[in-house]
Amino acid sequence: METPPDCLTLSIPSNPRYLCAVRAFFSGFLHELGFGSVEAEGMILAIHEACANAITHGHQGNMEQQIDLTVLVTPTCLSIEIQDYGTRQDVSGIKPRALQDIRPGGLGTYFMQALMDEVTYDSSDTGTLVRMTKRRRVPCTSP
Amino acid sequence: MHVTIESPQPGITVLRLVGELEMQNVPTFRQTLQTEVRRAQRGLVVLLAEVPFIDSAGIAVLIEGLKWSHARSLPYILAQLPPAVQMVIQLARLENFFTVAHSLEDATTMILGTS
Repeated sequence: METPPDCLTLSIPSNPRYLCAVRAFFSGFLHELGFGSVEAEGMILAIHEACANAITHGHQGNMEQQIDLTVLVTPTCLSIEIQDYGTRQDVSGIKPRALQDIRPGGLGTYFMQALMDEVTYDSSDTGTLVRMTKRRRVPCTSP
Repeated sequence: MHVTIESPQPGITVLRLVGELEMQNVPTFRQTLQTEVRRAQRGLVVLLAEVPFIDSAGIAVLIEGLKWSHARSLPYILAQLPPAVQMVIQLARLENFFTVAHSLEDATTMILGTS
């Protein structure tokens, strides 16, 4: 029988000042799970960018809302779900810009896709859920 | 994050950043950068040695700085990139877009060589 994932949850106000707390949380946690420092730095950037997008696009800069992070740990992978409760987004329009188009902006979603193994978006009238998955290079027998 | 402004040579402005360059503090840094690009006479150097984290907003403001500098034909150099910043610049494939120097001395020499 498959072991159920370990589940952690973290909620932050939709205020950029709390992104450092998210980064600090994952910094220790990813090392504990066996991710190397370079890989962990990349994952932390991807998680930061997803939260930044939730603040900027989901909550449209309203800093009095909430963002919920759910972390699921299995023996083979780590999934991070970032849920905002802002306006519905056209997820079909979320795509990284071409890198040869050098201009400010639009790099965040590119970083997320480049640094994680899988990124999906689901948006409804109650908000947007971004789910990012990273495979563990050294699978464990338990989460 | 805080920024100190130095001038090791007449006309050369050095912005020394200490702390994380990310969406929280980018608006303030953007104003400083814009002002100093306007003020610099011979070149501008952004020292990043003490920046442990940079996000897409931080990269975006560095791109803006380069574009403002190009509009003035002002040399614009990023120097002392720590591994975390190098990683993000390479990930964005901007390593050939920015002029990068290992040290402040190298950056100053590069600017003096172009003027």
